[in-house]
Amino acid sequence: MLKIKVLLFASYREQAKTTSTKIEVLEGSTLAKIIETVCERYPGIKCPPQKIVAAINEEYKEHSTVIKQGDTVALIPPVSGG
Amino acid sequence: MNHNSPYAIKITEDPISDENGRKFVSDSLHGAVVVFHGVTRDHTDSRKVLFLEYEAYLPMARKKLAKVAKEMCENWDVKAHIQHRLGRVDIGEASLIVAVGSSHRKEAFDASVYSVDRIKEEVPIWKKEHFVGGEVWIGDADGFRPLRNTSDAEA
Repeated sequence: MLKIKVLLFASYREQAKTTSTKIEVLEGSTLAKIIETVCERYPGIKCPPQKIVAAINEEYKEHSTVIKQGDTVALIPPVSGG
Repeated sequence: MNHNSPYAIKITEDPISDENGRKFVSDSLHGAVVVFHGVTRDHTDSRKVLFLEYEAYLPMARKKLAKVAKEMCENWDVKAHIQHRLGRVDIGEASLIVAVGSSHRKEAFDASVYSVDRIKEEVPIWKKEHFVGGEVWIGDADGFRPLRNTSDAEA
């Protein structure tokens, strides 16, 4: 099993009431699996998992990306800087 | 960031001013300096805005903001300096200041517009609007927590 740290920000952070969590997934799991698992754990997150944008190690990645041990995942709500 | 780099960025919780940006982009070769201020306004449509609050995924935001500044210098012959503020930003205060210097005005204007568009696409910074009667994460309808509809939650 891989233990993956997941960071939450802005609306997702408020909806989940936490800034980060640890998810256990099987080796070979994709980013999509991580996002689904986080959304199951925190049903307060209202965005459908397939629509959530995420980053691995500070880079945006496709949901099909395979996760590796030591990766840090961040769920990125729609950005609104400026 | 080394001293020869044509771009620099800063993300801070402190108030920002255009002085260091203007200084950074100043060059005897330049005939144009454009400075853009993104400022908190007191309304969004009919909502009375009290203040804005910015949050960032800091290491990634620094990286992506630097990427935007780098792209400006790759696409145009300019020097670029971008500052973004985090935390509470009151009415009339700047959350974003972009300074661009170039030989001619068109490049500076074009690069300036480009930077703000790109920041709103890619840099993981979020804005929460606190208004009379509620608060909303701009761009995220699910984050809306007032008693009204969400259709006008636009930056």
